[in-house]
Amino acid sequence: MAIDARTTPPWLRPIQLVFLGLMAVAWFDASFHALDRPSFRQYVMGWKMFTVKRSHGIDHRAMVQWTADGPYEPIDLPQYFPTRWDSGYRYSLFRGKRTMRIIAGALCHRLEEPAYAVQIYQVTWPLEPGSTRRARSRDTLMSRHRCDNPVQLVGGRTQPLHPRQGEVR
Amino acid sequence: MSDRLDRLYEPQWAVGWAWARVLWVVAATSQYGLDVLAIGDVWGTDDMLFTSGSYRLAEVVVVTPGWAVVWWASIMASIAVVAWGGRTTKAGLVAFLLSAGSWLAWEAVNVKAHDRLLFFITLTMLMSPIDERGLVHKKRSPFARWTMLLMFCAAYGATGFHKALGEPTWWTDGSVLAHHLVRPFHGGHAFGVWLSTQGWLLPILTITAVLWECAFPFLVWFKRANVPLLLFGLVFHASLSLWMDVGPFALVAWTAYPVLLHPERMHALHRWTMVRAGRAPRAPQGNP
Repeated sequence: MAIDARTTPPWLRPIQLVFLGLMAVAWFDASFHALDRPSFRQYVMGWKMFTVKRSHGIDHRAMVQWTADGPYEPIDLPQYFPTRWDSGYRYSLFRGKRTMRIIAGALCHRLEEPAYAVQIYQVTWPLEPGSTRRARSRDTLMSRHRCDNPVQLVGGRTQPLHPRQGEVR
Repeated sequence: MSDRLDRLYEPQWAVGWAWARVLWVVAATSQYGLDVLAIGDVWGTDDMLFTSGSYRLAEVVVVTPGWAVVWWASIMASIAVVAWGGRTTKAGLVAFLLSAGSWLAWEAVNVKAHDRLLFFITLTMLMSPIDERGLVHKKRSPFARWTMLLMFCAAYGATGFHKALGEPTWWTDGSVLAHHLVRPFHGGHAFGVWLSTQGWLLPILTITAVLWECAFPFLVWFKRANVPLLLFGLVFHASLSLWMDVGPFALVAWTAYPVLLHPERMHALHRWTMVRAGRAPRAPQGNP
């Protein structure tokens, strides 16, 4: 069978070469600014994958207070936010207290029984080769949230409360 | 000048794009196929809405679980169109970019490296002859392949340079890798945890990885270095997937490998595969 051989028409070649040149410039620019704050230039052409040594592991845990005068009890946080990507659960990606408040409110909403309040902690521990144990871990309170307190979401929407929130003493 | 451009733009074997299309379908399906199981938790939920940077779609778009299923189905339909191939392939790729892009933009939290890489590969495919049938008998413009090469030079090169210049333990004791291997989520696999204690092996792995990443942008353009570099890339991604949870990153990266491979080598590999599979006659002796 004869070979069908075609290539870019001459008028288009300079445009394509300029495009490739711009791509190369964008790449050099992103690399040059690699240590700056993340920006569009890094989004397009900057790639950092497992680049920096991490000395600490980070995870989260949650406690629930079922009634106003009851104790806080630990619960299994991933059970209520089960979706996991390679980088962790959805809540694993947040570091800010404002966004953690949304997670806390969603937890109140997703519990089987309505609760009075929830707490979410960030747990950090020093990483040790050869072990996944969380020895010498430290908890930081990221959010303490009253479940009857609606959280404002994006677009002017309000986070729904637990359907039986009114039953909590 | 014109002669030089003619030489530069000499048509190249295009069968790599046919392979890339098949691998793209596998990677995209593996990336989005199971998202339907997360609709109740993520895309169809009304209690976890976020915006992040320029991802602000959730401010204006309200998604119910039913609509999320339709949205997800449109992503899968676009992948099916690409799988079908032929003239509608590029329409499928555009539909994929729109539906999957907005899917991630609505979630606004978790655009991962393999999501970005898949989008850039998809954009590059739009410039290629991927919508033509019978690419094994065709030679086409090298432009789309150059674009793919440049993108992978950026991806591998940038991460390699950052490691080489910004984190000394990639060159010394390899402890950077040991720590990533025991991190929660990405790390923690039994084999990775064992590997993190192998003090003699870690520096060999880290130095080799950085050298390969840094060398890639310079050497991949040369026919002789092209094959060993890509073979190393296959092993690199496969072993990383064994030691760590990096999602479908390997599948996404490998999508481009048939295109990154030198077109003559790719053509020969295709012929060899077809002959082995009994789908093409063996070339007569003396007529390679």
